[in-house]
Amino acid sequence: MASAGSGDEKAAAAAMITLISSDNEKFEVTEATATLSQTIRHMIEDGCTDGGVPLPNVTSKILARVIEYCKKHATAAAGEEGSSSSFSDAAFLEVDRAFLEELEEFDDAFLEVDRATLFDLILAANYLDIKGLLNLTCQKVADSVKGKTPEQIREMYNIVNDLTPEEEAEIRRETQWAFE
Amino acid sequence: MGELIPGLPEEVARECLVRVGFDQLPVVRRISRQWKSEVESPYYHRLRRAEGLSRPVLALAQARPAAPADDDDAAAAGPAAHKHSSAGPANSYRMVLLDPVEGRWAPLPAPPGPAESLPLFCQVAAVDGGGARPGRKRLVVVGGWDPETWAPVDSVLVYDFLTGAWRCGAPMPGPRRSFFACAAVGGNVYVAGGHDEEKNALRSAMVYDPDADAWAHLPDMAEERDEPRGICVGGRFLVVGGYPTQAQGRFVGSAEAFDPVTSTWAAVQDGLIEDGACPRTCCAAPGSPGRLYMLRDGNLVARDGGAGPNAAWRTVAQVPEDARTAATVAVIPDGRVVLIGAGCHGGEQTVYVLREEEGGKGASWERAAAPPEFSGHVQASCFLEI
Repeated sequence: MASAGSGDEKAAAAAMITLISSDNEKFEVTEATATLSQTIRHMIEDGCTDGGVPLPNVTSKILARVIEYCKKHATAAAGEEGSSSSFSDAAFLEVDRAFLEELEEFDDAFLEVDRATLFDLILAANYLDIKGLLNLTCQKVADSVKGKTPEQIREMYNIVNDLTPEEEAEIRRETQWAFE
Repeated sequence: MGELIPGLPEEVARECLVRVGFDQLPVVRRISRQWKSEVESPYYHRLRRAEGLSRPVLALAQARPAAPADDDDAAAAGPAAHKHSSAGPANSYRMVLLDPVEGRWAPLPAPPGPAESLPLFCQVAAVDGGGARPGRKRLVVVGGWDPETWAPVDSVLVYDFLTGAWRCGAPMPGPRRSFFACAAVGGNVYVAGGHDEEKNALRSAMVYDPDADAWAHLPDMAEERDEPRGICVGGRFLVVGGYPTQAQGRFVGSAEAFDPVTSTWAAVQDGLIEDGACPRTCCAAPGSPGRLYMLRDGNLVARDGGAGPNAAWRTVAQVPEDARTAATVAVIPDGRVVLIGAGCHGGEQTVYVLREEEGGKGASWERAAAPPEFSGHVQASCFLEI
């Protein structure tokens, strides 16, 4: 079984993988897209992807979004390899820059989701071990505290304020100049 | 106990918290006990560093823009910065952080006191905190002149990046000293030389422990040194150049170093820098032990430590015309040299970053963005990673 996948590199790159969500929906993706997930990459290396890869922790709704991300970024990775090796003239750099900008716009739009979806994406990225997506979504959480009061942040993330009145007074004392 | 962020595994929640901007830390530690202890733990700062999330930054004591720029100021500075009802006076200095690689600027909250200005000619050092507070980043501003009366002050101002606030530290003991050497070494701030209120050059030296908020006297240096430069080199406090009372403005090239382990001074060598050279722009390269940079006759010059072939000063690059009157030279850990200067005295500051090619094959300056509100004169600076 394992030997079937190795061999012609071209064929391997074009090979399709079937991902199966927790609610039994099937998604056909290229190996290049699927292997942005280290978890799936290892499964492919171990040759245990025949008949599809069941992902019992990821719903079809979230898996669709994750695949959308992986498709976009797999293209980006392929583009980078292609351009850096041979050309580096101004025209190519221009194309590169335009593509990076497009990728950034994609990421920004991708993150326009509610908190529950964001958490589901984080959990999926963590489970599937997709470094780029995990970084992106964690950064989104980190950025979301910007300009918020502690009360607003607690509300956003269902955090209970367990600081004692004494501890709060201590923090206030330390920061009195900043918050007077 | 509860979760750091309900619904996320601990290690993932940690990945989120470690990405919070340093200017959000004061708010973050007011969320809950777990969030507070998370950002206060030394592990948190190590993780930030390990993931490349902490940035090399210069802290600059910089003149506020002369013209009223309230609206721009408030918009760029965000809620942490104080809004000023009137434009700062000509001699109003604030602390500004510059990420020279990204070209990003951020003003810190105004310092305490009615003038809301840092003292003129103050010195600034960044400490990590040792002992009970490892990794706790603070800026320590020492001495200088009162911005209104121009009288020398003994004040110590400490900015804590975790609390996002300034506090007054224990005042600097001894004579009111001006133009002294100052540098952070091993979590403490060292001060040496300068002159007293009668313009006598000083031999004396002191150390400030920011954790204990206490000063201690050190043994005297061998030489009187007015207007020397303080640098941290190899865990020692290096005091470069300066001049004695009898030789006003005639700088010496010698240096001496204080070793905190043995608590003694040692002469480094005569002619560490050229006699007559003002040591103000002398700085160490954190990534290359023993290497020093400074500006001399319109050039950036460098030398390496030890007795090797590069132990003599060599010219690295000519300083760009519009940065000739250079205020500050600093080296970031990847070896790039950051230069902040103006074309003439009182001119707008420009920022340049220099990349030295491999094997001494020349070097080139790249101009970094400096918006008008951050083009004020820089009086003091120090390097930190945050």
